[in-house]
Amino acid sequence: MAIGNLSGLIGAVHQPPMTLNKVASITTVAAQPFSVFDQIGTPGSGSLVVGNTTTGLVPTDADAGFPSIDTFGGGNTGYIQSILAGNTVACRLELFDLLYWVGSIPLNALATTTLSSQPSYDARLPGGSYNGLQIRLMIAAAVSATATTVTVNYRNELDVDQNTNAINVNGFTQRRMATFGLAAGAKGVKRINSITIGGTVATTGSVAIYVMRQLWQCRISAINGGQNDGPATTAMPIIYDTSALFPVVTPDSTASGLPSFLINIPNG
Amino acid sequence: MAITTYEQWKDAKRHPPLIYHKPSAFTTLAGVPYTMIARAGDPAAGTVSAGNTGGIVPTDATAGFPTIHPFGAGNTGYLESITFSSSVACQLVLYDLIFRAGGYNLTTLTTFNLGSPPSYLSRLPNGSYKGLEVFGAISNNVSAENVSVPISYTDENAVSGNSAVIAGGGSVANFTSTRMFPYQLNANFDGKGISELDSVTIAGTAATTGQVNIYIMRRLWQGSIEIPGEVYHDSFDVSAMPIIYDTSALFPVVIPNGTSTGVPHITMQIAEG
Repeated sequence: MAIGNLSGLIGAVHQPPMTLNKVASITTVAAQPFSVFDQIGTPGSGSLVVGNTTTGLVPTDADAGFPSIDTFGGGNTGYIQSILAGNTVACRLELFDLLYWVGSIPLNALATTTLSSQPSYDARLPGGSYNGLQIRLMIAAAVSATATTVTVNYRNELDVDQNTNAINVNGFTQRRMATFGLAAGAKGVKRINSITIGGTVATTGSVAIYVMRQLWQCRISAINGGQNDGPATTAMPIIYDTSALFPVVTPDSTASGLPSFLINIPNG
Repeated sequence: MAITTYEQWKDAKRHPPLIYHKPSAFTTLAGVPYTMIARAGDPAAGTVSAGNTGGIVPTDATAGFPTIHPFGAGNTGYLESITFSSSVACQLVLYDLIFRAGGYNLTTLTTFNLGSPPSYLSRLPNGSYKGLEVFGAISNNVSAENVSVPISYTDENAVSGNSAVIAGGGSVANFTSTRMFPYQLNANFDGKGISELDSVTIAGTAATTGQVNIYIMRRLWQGSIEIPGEVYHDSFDVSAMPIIYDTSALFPVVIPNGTSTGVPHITMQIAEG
């Protein structure tokens, strides 16, 4: 089924509003995206270390650090109806479904980590479409001041294997994220094949690779500012009762602040 | 019953708007949560102290909480829309305060075991403990000693023995009355919910003065006042009409940008059907 009209929305099964907030701030780099996944709050903290470098994993709401989503009714479709978001600093807030992650890949050796038997995240894609998915890196351990690069080989939406651009992670601090550019013409990501560490070998540092589906974003324009978006703004993106909801903070300055989300999830 | 169609929503029984207005501001720290429950206004003042170290489930009949008219038999109640403003830039967060215990004096190092605290399960839609938040609330100014207040709790899976500490691991030294502070649930036990507060420990260095309470709260709504004096409105599609009960203890928390709570004014529209 699906929510097809206003009555369907009003009559949908509504999970109690979901809290996703962080109560500890981290030091950041201005205008760069950061994960706050390992910070305390509601839910409790998760780990920056995926703990799998052979196949990668499909995280779910049951994993530590992700908010729990109530099981949807049989045959029902779930949505984000509204998001009430704020932060103690000016920033951009993004919300993703984190579909796949692998790591941590050490940066103190120039090598290619080739994955096998990767789990599929097809079940977490509305319409089964790989289009629009992003590949991002997340620094699990701070990188030395070395011109170390990370490149990902992936399978695109047409089953063609391609390389991303190389991201130079010289001096990247822990939790910093960066988005890979897909190859010319590519529109989506079906699978991560391998991760190559190149350039100058680092003395310290490790990285995780994420595949993410963007659900929503907003601008927090002032300290303690917020934005409350209803269905006309969120456009009610489809989510799943296993979705791993994952915020990313891009602060204007050098602190993540204390981002806070109240997310309303109907299913019907 | 429940409101399940557009027609039912349109025809739902609506209560006179509930007003929360505290006309007397007080001094705060910037970016820190505070309760104004002890201030005069509408509703009239209540107390920060729970008045019961074994814990109680506050209701709308408890002093300091706005009165909710009883719902019709079998009806489900919703927080339909919210209009909000303040005289200062701030964040406002609205909770159902489903449990509180205290005040616990910080002058003696000891552990308070709650024994069999009352259940708040009937105030949880779908009976889910997940996503609940735990805060401390100061009911007497704390002196400068390095006193902390770890708690133990039973999680959403009925696993007891979980511990939680003040977020950031700090003490409550010099915290002033009405200040609130969040707890960090135990990540090793997945940190996703709390079904019971089991004990409260006064640890570190005993304070000369000070008293703390532990609150368990269900978040209903939040909003930001970016322009002092501006009036904002979230309609039913934004609030998503969270379920409340005719016994809910509606409890706003103010997080000011600056050093004053300002004068918040919140109008809550409740519908039932």
